[in-house]
Amino acid sequence: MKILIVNAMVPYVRGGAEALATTLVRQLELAGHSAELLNIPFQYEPAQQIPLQMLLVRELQISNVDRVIALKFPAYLVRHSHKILWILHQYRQAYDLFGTSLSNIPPGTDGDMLRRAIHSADGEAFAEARRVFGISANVVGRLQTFNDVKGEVLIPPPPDAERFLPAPGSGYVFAGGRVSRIKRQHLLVEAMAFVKSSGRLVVAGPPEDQSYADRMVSFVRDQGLAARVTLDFRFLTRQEYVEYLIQADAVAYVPVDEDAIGYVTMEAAIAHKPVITTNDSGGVLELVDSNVVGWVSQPTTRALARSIEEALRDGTGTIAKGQALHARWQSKQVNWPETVRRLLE
Amino acid sequence: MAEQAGQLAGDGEETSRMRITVVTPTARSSAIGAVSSCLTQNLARNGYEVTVVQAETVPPQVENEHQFPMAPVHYAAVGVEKLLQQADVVIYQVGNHYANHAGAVYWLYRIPGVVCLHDAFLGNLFAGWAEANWTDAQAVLRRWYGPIVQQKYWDWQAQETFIELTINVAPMTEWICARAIGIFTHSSYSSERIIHACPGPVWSFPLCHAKEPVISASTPEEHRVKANDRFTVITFGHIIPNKCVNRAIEAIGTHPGLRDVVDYRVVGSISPDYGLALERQARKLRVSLAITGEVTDERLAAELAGADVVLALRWPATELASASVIEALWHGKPTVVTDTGCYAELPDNIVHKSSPEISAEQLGIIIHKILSVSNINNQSELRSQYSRLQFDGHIYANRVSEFIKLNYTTFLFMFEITRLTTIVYAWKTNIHTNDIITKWRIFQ
Amino acid sequence: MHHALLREIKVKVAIASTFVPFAANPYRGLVVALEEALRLEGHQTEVVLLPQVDVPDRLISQILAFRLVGLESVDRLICLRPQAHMIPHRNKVVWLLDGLLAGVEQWKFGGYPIKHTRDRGQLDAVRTSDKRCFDECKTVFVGSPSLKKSMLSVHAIGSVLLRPPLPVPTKLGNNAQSSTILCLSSYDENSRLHIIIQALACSSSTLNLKILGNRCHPSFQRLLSQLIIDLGMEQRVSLDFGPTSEEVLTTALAECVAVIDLEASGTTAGDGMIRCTRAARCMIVAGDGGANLDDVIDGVTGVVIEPDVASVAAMLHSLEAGAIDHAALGRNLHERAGKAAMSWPETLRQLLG
Repeated sequence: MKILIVNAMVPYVRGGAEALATTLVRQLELAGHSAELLNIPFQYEPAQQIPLQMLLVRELQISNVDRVIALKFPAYLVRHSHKILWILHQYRQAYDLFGTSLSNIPPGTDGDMLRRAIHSADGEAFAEARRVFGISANVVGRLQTFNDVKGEVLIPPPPDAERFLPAPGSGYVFAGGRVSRIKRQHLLVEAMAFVKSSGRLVVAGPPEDQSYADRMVSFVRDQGLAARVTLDFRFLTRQEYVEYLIQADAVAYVPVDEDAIGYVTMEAAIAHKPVITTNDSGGVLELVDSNVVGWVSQPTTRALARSIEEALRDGTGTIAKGQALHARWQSKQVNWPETVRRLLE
Repeated sequence: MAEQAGQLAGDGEETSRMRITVVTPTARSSAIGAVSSCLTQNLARNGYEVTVVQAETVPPQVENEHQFPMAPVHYAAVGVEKLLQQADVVIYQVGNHYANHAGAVYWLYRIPGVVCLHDAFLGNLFAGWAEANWTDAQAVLRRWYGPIVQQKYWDWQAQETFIELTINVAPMTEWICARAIGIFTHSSYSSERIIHACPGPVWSFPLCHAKEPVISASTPEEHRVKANDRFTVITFGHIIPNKCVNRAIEAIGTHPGLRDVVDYRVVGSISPDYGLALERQARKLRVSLAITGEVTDERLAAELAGADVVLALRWPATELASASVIEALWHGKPTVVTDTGCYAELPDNIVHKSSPEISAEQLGIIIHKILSVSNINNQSELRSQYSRLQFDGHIYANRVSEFIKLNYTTFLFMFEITRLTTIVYAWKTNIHTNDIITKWRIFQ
Repeated sequence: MHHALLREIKVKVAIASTFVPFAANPYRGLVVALEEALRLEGHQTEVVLLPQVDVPDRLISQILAFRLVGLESVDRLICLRPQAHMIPHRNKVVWLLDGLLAGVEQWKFGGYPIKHTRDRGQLDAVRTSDKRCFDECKTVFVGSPSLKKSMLSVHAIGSVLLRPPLPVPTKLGNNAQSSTILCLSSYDENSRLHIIIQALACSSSTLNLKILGNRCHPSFQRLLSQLIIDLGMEQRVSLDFGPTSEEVLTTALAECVAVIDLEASGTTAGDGMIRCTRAARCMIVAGDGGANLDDVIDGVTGVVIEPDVASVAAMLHSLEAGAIDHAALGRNLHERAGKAAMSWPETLRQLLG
């Protein structure tokens, strides 16, 4: 079959969604299909432009394609007679993030009108789709809550699981992935001020917002933590990222209400590394749901400091948690052949 | 590899016919219906595939309809939406009377098209539509005239002086014009509002004379209705207060040179109460008044043939052209109009103009002056010729055809833009028009 | 100094082009090559590919949609295949390889005659918006001298000649044993395909003919199919009209002896010419072939023949007999086009300047 993957992209920004789209194309081709990727540019600032962006997507005309698999808002508004939605996330600023500092939709009449428009258009897209999948229980739950849509959970496997081979830890906790306020790496950095163990924290990844990155740099300098906190703010090569992760004692991932388990979490699990997280990290908790497989604490610097301390001090315990997390992951049977089969059945 | 694009445009003659659908009143009593009848028949003769959709809330009996190239379909009938979608262009005839134009408004909201605008004041049309579209109507008032007018409008609408109260403040011209992809109308009256509101092209050219005269000017005397050797002054049409019959009665009754020599005939449908009121006034002023009520076309032609002066006064003047004036001039009759609105554009050597205030004294002077001329028919041929050239039905149809062809590219864009904005409005949101106008101006 | 400065200034560039999913078009290769060249110079690069259906009465809605694309974070927008140039941007250039603006082409080849005010209106709409959007561009670049002439005479648009640097031909495989002549393009009777088929039938050559194209005028396609049957050429002539993948085209080029295009007086080189040049294959054109003669010199960089059955038949015989060194001609064509083009760094200076 000829399958078009449709994603929304912000120019020059790359993250998990983009990686998933590219991986999906490759996996479909491995399964014997022809696949192409359509990345629709999405400009969401200013917010009042969003209806025009939605209109753009609705009016794109797609031919010579048997199936469309659409991943994100507003890409999933695209029209096609055989459309499957595999939702990474809706425009959360109009839903659960509305009213918080993370939303660009203003309060008041204009904001309400915009949210209504997004809700209406979403409704049209969901009704048109042959199947609606979400990448996590969180995403599916939001579809039910806000849009009264019954979606199916379909966890995306990491693109290159085979690279994350278990290796001995080198005395640090690793926090990888995009550096942003919503990922809250600053909590981990600030927690290190309370960690007495000699172990280290490594935070590595491309910053979305330079001022956020600068804030952490200043903190490390001012608190004299340079010897124990490594801040590697740049786009890492895949090899660099893999090496950071597999040589860590544990992985820390503390986003706010993440949509999905998160690649960082999955890669940690594959590599037998336990995960430090918080009780408000959303989809991460679908895998890291207890202290058997990692550490789940309050989202405070003190609580995280205790988790980091334990991860660095208790070598045997840490290894055991890592193995338990790996077993938990294996039990979910998340792999690409099965994912492709479910998308196309 | 690429051929000259210009050659492509010339490839082949037009071998398939353009499809035009006209949404219009079809009843014989409708002057706009008469225009549509003339237009559609001429367009069909010119090779267009023409269909007609009846716009009246209650369709007339077949025997009471104008003639059209094919049998009209009522606007609420099954299949009309497809008919309209398949047309290359839809022309909506729009006037102020809701019962006659309900179908036009209904479909204009759904299928983009060109509007032929007959009235600049559309308050009555709007009020009729608002009954079933209250929320949208409120939004329309607020959008075009602001919250204060929106609040006061319905109080004004309840009053007898509704037109006077709203014609300058909230004529509702913009409401319809904003929905049109293009407009053609028949004078430059109210052009600022029309051009401001309509996103597409706006043209103006004279209305057509929509019917053949039943009795020509050269018909022998014995066929004309002329009761005596006195002078006959007539007002004809749908007799409502804005035709200023009361002023005419006053003018005739107070001018010493008129009362004893003039028979004033009021020809056309009239409400009983209004008729009685006029008769009372005439009796008081000892004016010879005859009110005929509704007459046949033949009878009207006879009345016109027997008239010495036609009074086509209007206040307020809200229409964009007058079928009455066209008819009177066609018959070569000296015609008095109000110097306002579309009437102000008529040449001074073709019509006689009364000031907009229509003082009885001034009107009396004008009528007396006309009747005092030794041969009051000496300009008859001039008037008749003017009317036949200006208001020729074939020329009118050709102008409509030209309007469509020359603007068709724009219309294609307007169809799409209308469709796209409909999608956005279905999401119950607005788009900032300045943003989008800048982006979409590339077709100009 | 100016060039040195440009080398230092890194910009955020976006390459915009249109495509039909899973269908080849000559711009796909250019997108890839341009992106790579930009990244090598250190610029942040994004590729924006927009899907398009090249059918006349759907063009206007697509144009209006493209006008909604927002790329304000981009410093310089480079638009390739039409109608990508409809994307609004304060700092855009367009780079055309051929003059086949999608809408105009459709009328010629797609069986959409101008029979109706509606057709004329759509064509005018495309032309008007083309002109306005070209006017929005800082510069219009074109890939051939003929296209430059055509843009001026037909569209009244001035342009700058910028021939795309040619890729080193990939190892396509040894076509020495090949027995296929390839035709690539969209067709009507101007393509003279019927002459080629007739020549093949009456020639002593045993070569085969493979015809690949996105579109063909329906009546001409019927004519060709009947001709093939009447001449008993079903085993030797294959007709394949419809969206063709890059893979299929690359394979066809790899397996062919030469590419033939006998269209008369074309104002721009076609898809066949562009691909043939890139792939260093021998190009066979007609003596009245217009833009194809920009680069094809008989006996040096290709073969030029009279577009009649006898001449084509004689050429086929010579080709098969080895009298024409098609490999050398293909290499020469590639080299000539390569010399006429700038290097990628120089090309980028033009595009970003």
